[in-house]
Amino acid sequence: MNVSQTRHGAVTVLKPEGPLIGAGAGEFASHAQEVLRESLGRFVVDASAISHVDSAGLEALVDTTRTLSDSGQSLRLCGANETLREVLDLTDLSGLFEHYEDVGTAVRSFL
Amino acid sequence: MRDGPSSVRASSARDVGGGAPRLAWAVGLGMLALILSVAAGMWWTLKAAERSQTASRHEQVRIVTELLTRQGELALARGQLSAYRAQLAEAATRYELSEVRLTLPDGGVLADAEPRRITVREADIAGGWKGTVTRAGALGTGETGGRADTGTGMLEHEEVVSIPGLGEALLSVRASPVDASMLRWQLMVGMGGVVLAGLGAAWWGVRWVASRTRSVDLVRDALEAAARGERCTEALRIDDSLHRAAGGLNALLDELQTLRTLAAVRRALGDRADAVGAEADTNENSGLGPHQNALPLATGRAGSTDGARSADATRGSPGAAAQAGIGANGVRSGEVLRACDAMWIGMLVVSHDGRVRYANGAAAVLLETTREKLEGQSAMAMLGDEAVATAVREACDGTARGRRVIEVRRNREGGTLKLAEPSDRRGSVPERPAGWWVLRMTVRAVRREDDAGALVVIEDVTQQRVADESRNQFVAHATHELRTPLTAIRLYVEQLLEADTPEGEPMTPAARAQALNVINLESRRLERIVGDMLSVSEIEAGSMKLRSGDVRVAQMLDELRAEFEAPALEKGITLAFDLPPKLPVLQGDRDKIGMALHNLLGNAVKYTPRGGSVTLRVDSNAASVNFEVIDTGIGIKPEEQALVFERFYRAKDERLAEITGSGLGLALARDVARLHGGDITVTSELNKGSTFTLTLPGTRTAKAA
Repeated sequence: MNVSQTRHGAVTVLKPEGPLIGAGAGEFASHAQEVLRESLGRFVVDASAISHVDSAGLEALVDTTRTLSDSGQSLRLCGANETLREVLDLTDLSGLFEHYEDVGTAVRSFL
Repeated sequence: MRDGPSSVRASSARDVGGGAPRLAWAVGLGMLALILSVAAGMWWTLKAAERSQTASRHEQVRIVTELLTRQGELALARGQLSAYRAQLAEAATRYELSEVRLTLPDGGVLADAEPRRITVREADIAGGWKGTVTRAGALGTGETGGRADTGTGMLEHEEVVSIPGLGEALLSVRASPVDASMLRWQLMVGMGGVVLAGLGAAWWGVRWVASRTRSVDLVRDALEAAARGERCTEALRIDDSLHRAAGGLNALLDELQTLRTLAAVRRALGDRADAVGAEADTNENSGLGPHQNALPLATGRAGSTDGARSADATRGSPGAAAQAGIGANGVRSGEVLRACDAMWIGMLVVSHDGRVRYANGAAAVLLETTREKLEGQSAMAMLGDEAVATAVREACDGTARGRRVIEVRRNREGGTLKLAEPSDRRGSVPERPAGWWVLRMTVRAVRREDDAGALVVIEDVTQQRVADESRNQFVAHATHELRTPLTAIRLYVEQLLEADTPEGEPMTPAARAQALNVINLESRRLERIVGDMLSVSEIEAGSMKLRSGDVRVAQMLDELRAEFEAPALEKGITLAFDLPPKLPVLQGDRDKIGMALHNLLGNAVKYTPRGGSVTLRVDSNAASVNFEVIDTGIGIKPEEQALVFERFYRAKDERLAEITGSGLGLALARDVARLHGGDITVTSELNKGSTFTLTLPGTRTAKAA
């Protein structure tokens, strides 16, 4: 799957495009791990282009936030649509992440 | 899950039809064997009875014969022939003898049970007779003279009767053997009855056992299938209605399926489930409940940047010593360690000998190492910075006072450049290479009774530095930008003021008009710059609001033309406005839209070299109004086309002598467009030019602020 990567100041913004499912979710997870390492966890996932997720996608997100928890952080998600929020609520995973409206506020949270 | 019924299902269907299971067959055969043995026993009994009866009859006949012999000797000796004849007849009747005959040597019949056969008269034997008799015992087997005539099955006995004074005679007795036919019939009927009853019982017994064991067989089949490798619980289920055993197996299968599902969910959720589950176990709840503890993720595990999952490294390591120290106030040290790992600020506890005693997860991540590699090592070496090392050493020596804050800048290549102590942070801001970050390390002495140690707090302040830098840059450029128009305004104002005084040089009306024009333009520029700065702060705060009203596009475009005509001319660029005959009226914030267009035009002029052109084309339809700014400038690289809209992003290009502007122009313009419900898009080709299109919704659909 296509994941666009930009920098906002010192913060990297990853934006996966399309449904976060199956093998694509696995690729995204390893990409995120790499970015995590490089940026010491200073990154944000812009979820506004994620149309929907499956269990593989959830696993990818949870893995990423777990790695971040090693340094007391959680994965910052912004722009999650209704579907994604619902899925996270239903699976009780919502609390594992930090949710932001848009990229700007998410990036500002690093200050 | 595999589809289709397995062999177990199929066999259960078959069994309901009526092939009895194996155990039932075994029982059936057993019963059959039992019945057959009973029947055989009865047959042997019958045979034995027959034999004994036959033997008895033999004996009877023999005794009767002997008896008659004696009686004959006595009776004939006394001349009581008639009485003897009567005795024979009586014996024949009583003992069912078919023949009783007394024969003389010459063959005459002296006495017989059948009187008609008598051939000798009593008077004939008055004087006696001569001759001997021989027993005609061709077969001659019995000791007493009797024999069984196997030809006819009759019994025969012969005895020699010696009558004193008369002579010898032969007494022959014939008798039929026992008539066992009645007995045989009775026994046969009895046996037949027993066998039939037995078969009936066997059949019923087989069916009963079959029904009982059908489910046992199915359960055994299911278990055998599982042993062979069948994992799908649906395929292993058997019909509940058969027996309790079936119900039991199905319940077990259901439980197995539930456990498998739980395990799969746990794997998906990872340690979070373990933590919740462990909490649930201690609270004796079942299943996964909602958050049961406040720190589901921080379970005191070692942090590592390569994601390796290792066991809790604090056990049996120098960290354990720290653990012992923490647990003084009845606070469980595990709780404290978990809390430490939940911190996003790195923490190093250094002992008096300079070794790292404890490092939390964030410290390991920020120092790009693992907890195992940190603990026990020399803190100075791990922190990798001269000043920090000195600070730590002094803290451990006890010669430090208070705390020292040092910012360390690190690059990805691994080198470190000390930025400065915050107290004297100044100087020019260095150019940013890709991949750098700034860690703020605070070193503080920790005093205990007998020794001193150090606490090092590590914070990632990169984003703050970046924000600082960009703000500083912005302010620097903005002040420069502000200064330019202010200078021009002051210049012309002074000129105008001087011209009115007696000493000053008079100004021609043209010059005066020119001066006033410049003042006007420059003040507008000032206004815009200040507006930019305000917008930045509004955007940062997320509170930009639009004022909605009529936007007279014609007027706006006139102002833009006036603004950019001179700079374009100066640069040798053709500025053209391509407008439709009737310009639309927009609803929106006039100032903000004007600013957006101004930024687009400004960029176009800035990035178009001498001899190029900049065109503003307006066209509208029912749905929207499009403003296209087309230039023949240096273009934008494909990978940068999305980036140019980012805040503070400035495209780096060697062809530009100097990068001016705040880096906010396009970001602001796009924000404005989007707040109106529209957007800005760009198409560009390197070295050919760019086209920025600002689209705003038409009057009917424009969004009111």
